[in-house]
Amino acid sequence: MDDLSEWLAEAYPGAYRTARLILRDPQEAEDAVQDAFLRAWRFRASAPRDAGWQPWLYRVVVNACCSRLRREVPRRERRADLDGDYEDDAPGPEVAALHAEEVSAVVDALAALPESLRIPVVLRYYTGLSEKDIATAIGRRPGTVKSRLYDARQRLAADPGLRALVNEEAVR
Amino acid sequence: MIDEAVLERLLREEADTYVPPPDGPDDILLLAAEAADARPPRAKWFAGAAAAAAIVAIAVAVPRLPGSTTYSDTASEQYGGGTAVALNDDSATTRGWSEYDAGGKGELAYKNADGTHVVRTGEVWLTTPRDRVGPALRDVARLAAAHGGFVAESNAETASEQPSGFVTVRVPVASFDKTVDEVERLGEVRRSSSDGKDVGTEVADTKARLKSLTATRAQLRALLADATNVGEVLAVQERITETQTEIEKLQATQASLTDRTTYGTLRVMVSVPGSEEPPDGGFSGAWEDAKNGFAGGFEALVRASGTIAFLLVAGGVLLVLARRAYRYWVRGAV
Repeated sequence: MDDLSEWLAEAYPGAYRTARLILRDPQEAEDAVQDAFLRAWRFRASAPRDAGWQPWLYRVVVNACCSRLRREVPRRERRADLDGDYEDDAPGPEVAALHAEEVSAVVDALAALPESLRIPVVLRYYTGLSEKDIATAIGRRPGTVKSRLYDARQRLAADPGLRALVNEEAVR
Repeated sequence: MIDEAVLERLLREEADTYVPPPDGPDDILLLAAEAADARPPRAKWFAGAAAAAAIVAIAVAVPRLPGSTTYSDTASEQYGGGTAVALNDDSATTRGWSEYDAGGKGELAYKNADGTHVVRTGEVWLTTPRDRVGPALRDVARLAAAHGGFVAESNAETASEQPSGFVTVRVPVASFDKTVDEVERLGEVRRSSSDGKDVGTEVADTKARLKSLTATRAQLRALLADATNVGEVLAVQERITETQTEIEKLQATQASLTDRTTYGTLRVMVSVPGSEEPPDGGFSGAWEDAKNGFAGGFEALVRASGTIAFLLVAGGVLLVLARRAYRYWVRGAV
């Protein structure tokens, strides 16, 4: 991957959605992904070749998200940034109507997880990285990732909103 | 324990509703290109000086171009017992407004040359019989509402011997002239004036500066992520705070411009015949005058700065030439 536009074409949508799931705020997610790509591009010489570049890139994205989660950005600043730029970011009325309950349950359950569990969950079950790749992305051992995923799934199962949603689906 | 397949599906469905910003990849390409083109400090200084010189040159030259003034002339009409209508006789083409007599009735009609970003203000002084002062003021409010506007301020003293009052209404710019026409029918017009100011340049400038500062903030954030020690973090954070403050100021300016170009401000004063002066807004009127005076003074200062800069440069060049000529003459004499 020697061309930034190729990187962006291949990884931007997935990286943005991953950042959204971690950060929730669209503007924060966009800024985090922008920072991550610029930083990754600057240090592209250290990127692994072939298939290894994606976990490496996600590591940069996750770091950018973490630094945003840890930084105390005043709410006012974040709201000023939003500025109504992404009206089209919201789902259409039909999609919103169909998924409103589901979406809020999933988002709320994710948000209730601590950052250390939320990030592996997103990388494993949305981004589709293996436990080994997640370990690379978050800078932990694969065993730690495995136990965190287990812990996260237990907590999600205990989330009342998500449990209601899953039960309702099972009945259907 | 939640099933892995269910969790995968729920997250995928949730993430599918997130549409990545369409400009996101382009912004990153732009910022990466800018970072690659970053010049050394001296070159940046020269580029900055050249840009400042160009801005000064444009600021001096543009106001002198035909059709590019600030369109702040006032067309006043005085109706003093049938006195002839007095119009500002500047050429309409030199002001960017096309101004014409709508129906040969001495009425002014305005048409903006570029169709956008115009601040409209106006003032009408009406006289009515004693018992009509209050109803006339209410009619003005009703007219404003009928055109999608609203009352911003009002005051009436209808119980006094000389009843009078005023109302300031905000009406959509598109309906401004029509509202003025209709208001003028509510009584005898003692004085009527309206003003249009094209703020297109200000709007474009604010938008461009906001875009540029937003990009700068993104770059600073990227730098912050790279900062390796406390000193660097503090320095970058200070710059981010400054940039954020500037962005917030510009956003406030943008909001104010949007408000002023969406709604025109019309002040209607109503009194009984024989009143020497129109009823004013007391303290609020004085405050308006103070604000206008301050803005006018500042505007004049900014406008003059171009000429002053030009005179300084020209004076400097002349001084250097004169000194060289004097030395040459002295050496020649020896």
